[in-house]
Amino acid sequence: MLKYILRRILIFIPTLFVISLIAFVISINAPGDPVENLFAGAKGGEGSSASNAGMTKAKDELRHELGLDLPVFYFTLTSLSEPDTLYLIKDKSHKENLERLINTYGNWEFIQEYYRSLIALRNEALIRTEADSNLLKQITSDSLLIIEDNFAQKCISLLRTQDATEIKSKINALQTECGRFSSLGANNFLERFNSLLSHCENTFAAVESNSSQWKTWIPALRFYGYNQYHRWLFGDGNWLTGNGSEHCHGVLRGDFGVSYATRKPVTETIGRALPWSMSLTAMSVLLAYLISIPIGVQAAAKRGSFFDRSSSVVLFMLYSLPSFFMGTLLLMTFANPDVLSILPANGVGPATGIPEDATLWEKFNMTWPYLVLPLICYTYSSLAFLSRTMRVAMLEISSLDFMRTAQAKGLSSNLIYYKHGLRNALLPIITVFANIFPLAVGGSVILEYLFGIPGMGPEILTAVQTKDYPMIVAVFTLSGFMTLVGYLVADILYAIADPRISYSKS
Amino acid sequence: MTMKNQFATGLFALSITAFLASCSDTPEGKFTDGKTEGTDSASNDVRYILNKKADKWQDDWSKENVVVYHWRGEPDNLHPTNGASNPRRMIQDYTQRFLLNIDLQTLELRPDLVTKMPDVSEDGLTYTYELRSDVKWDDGSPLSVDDVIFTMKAQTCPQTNNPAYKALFEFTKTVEKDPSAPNKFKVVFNKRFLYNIAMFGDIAIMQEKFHDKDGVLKKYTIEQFLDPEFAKTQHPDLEAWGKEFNDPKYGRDINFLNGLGPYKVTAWEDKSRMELTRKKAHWTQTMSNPGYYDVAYPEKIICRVITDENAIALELKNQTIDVSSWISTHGLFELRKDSLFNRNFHSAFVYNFDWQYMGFNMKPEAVNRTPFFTDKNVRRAIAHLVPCDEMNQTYLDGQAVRMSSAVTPTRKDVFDPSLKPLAYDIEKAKQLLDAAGWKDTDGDNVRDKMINGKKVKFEFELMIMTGNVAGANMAKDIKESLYKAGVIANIRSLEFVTFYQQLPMHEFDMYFGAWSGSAFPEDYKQIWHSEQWANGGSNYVGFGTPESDKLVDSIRVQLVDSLRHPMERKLMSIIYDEQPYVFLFMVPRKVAIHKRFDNANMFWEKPGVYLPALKLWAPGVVINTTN
Repeated sequence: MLKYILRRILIFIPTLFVISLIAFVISINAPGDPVENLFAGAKGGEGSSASNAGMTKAKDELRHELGLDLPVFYFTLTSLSEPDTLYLIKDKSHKENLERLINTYGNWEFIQEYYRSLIALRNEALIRTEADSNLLKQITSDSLLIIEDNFAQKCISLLRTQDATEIKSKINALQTECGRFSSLGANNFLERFNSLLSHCENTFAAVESNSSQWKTWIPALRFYGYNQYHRWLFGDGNWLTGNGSEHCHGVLRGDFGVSYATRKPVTETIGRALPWSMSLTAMSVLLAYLISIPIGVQAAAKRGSFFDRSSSVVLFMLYSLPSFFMGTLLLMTFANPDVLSILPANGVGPATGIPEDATLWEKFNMTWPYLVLPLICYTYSSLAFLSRTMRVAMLEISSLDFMRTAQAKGLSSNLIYYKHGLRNALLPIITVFANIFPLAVGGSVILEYLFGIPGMGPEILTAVQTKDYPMIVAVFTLSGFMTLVGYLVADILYAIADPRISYSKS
Repeated sequence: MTMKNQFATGLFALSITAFLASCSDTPEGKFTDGKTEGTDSASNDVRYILNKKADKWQDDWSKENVVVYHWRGEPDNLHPTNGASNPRRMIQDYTQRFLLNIDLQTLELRPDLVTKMPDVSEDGLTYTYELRSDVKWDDGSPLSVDDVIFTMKAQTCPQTNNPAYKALFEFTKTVEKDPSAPNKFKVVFNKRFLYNIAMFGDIAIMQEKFHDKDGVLKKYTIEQFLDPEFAKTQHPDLEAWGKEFNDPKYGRDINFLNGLGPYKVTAWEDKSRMELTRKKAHWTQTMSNPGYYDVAYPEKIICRVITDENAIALELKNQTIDVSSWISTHGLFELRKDSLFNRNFHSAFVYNFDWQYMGFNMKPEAVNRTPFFTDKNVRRAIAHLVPCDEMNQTYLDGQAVRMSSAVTPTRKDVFDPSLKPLAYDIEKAKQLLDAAGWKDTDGDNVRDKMINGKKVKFEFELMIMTGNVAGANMAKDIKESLYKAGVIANIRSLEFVTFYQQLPMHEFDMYFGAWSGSAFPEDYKQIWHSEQWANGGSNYVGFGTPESDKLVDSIRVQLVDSLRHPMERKLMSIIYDEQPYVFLFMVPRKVAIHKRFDNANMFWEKPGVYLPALKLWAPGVVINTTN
């Protein structure tokens, strides 16, 4: 048995590797840029150069801190035309447009020059210098402002355009705008933009004339050393010892990184929330089994009786009630001063908190009323399934010879079913038990939201809503791990319940 | 509290709003719509609701001098510089102090840590402040000008992760001590700017000794920090300081929270509760005549996170919450049917500065989208097709206040009542669409138009945020109404983060939005200047005419109210004419305060309540504010 357990634990490793890889791939490919999300509250705002320069630097530093300036994986399968440095382009829309251009023309070195010329043009268009403002005051025509805006609009638009006809048309339109500047006497605009526009035009012409689309048909395998996945697994220090790590120690050392939303370590958040979800799940499982097993056994023993039929009806009625409805019903009944106000409505403890010097018994006394209603909601829905499973299993067992022998010996019903029959009927129940483990990690979003329990449910919901991928990946990996543990525990319990089950090779 | 940065933080009112009028103290158990002193109305200038003390103390009221406040979400963090949420600001008001702050009753700026409002030089560029001499940090050391200078340096330092605040210092030149007096200092600006005073209502003063033990920032000047070239250079000591200062512990760990306010955070259970405890021997406790904003009557303030509507109602009924400014409209209506609730709580629908709208993409060519809304007539037509009054009745219980332009009626100095909301008028809308060239040429009941040689149907995408139930319902009504005029709106629901990523990239045709406002003089640049369209600012829709840009630029440098307000009204009339938005509603806040507290005032300025002033008036209980 021990060998079997060890073997199973060893199998955890490749399984968890695959789970973590899937979780990582999902997080990487999800839309949105975490750095932009974190800076969403700060706009380009007032056009202050200092603030914009500072913000760009802050974003770059954060990107570096989160490891988002690295290639994604150890290798990537691409085409010969695509460079191995495309991951360095931070703006996703630009990157996508460049990929389209590469697919069309296949000559990265020329596309790169064209892209640089567009960036220079865009940056110049966004600057509205003091000289421009002074000029505006001298020129009474308001047309200049309109021209400037159209100009900026077209410059930005070029960075997302890959169709050759459209690109040329937009560059022509920009050159026409420059001409209009000239007519307004805005010669300094001309000086700034004419050369940039010519450069854009020439570099794009070079892209077209030096097309090497054949390169897009030849696959290429690009290898990278240090990459995001490696960093995620091993941290940003020495991969073996972990020495020198600055921002991240790696998942293998229990560091799932920092939450994008709260900037707190993910393990700290999970460490705070998980005990609530796990303890509620554990208590509800215990209650569910304590209630369901006797009901199932009695229903089997008194098959067709009033108890059997009525218990089925009641339990399935309960099963059909959604948990949020049941939760609200319980709240409005037991926490409502208009009906019965005997239990609290929300939270896990009194508003004033639990005194630090309170004894364990006192803490328990202050906390248990808050858990009654959530516990009922966690438990009731599984009663029907468990009791029916128990009933079916017990009915199968009760028709066997040894049960008839026990009856013939004159043993009491309880003795027959609980001592002789139950153990043989436990296998399906144990199978269900295995699924409890991952549920304990995920918590119940609805119930924890309803009752204000600071468990994993609200944390996962917030993580999904805010695209907090370190948190999502951590929960995903942890759930996978707990599923493996659950199945292992189930296997062990099978062997305990039924000695005929053996995992040794002999 | 300034409204310098109107972040797109997705302050959607999920529920409804109502109309505030007043909430008179009523005969026990009954609720009537009366007016009392301090009540908001169109005819008087008072900007808050004064609730009179209850006539009689009830036996089942708690005599504990603890205020339990309910909110739906806690602060992102309490870091003095690196955060931006509204709950954070509320806690800062109780744990920090500012040079200036807003008077919730008059909605004017008032001196807080300074003796009076600053003296302003003739050119409007130099502001001289004098610190109060009675202010002390928790360690007993006095507040000094060094702390103020450090605060400004920390805010402007390129290493600090506070992009939301850096923009406040756009025109700051320097800060210097006044040699004539140790408590005086001058702040010098490059340009006249509306926020040159108001910015100090947003910046909590930090203790230099606490955040810069090694005196790193003393080696640098604020001029250096404001120089964009400086940000490109390497300074290891500054980077080390920045790394420590930006550490999240200064925003989440209660052992690292420091401030001049009368309360300190003594417990913070994530997503559950936050506890503020009144400090012992706080400097305000030695004042002989403390003002409204210097008192701290409750011994503790506990903020509880409750998100479920039923739970909120039950907690109020059970009197386990004392104050809430997060009740839904329907929730408050239901609660008011309960005589016990009315006996126990003051409640009201309170005006504020938040409003909802739908934004058009006025410059879609930049992102290769169809130019549906580039024509002003089309935008006006769509506005005429939105059944606002019906939606108000159906989803908002008739309590919302229609918006006509970009200021709420609560901005009395700027609001122009002559700008009427556009009426629901399908025929008028059809005429406008016809005039704009959108006609049904192929008889399929959907208008179309030739654009760049291609026939384009008037079928666009209306973006809403997932979870905005009222918005989703309204979107369906709008869709139905638009179809009557031959326009198809396809509703696209996006979750919060994705939604707000699409906006600065202009990847939308039309979207539901909301702005959170404030009493503060508004800098319209971020939302209404054409510059803020191209550079990723909050002008998502691309509004801006040469005239409006000039007005925006002029408004932000005009410090005299009587000269600035007419310009603001002119700007509003241009916005009204251009209709870059369909202006929807102002969303009154629903507030309840337990009657066991006196000073139960309800304010227009968020969060609508001021908890330290709530004074328990239980018979036989003496409130001792000196611990």
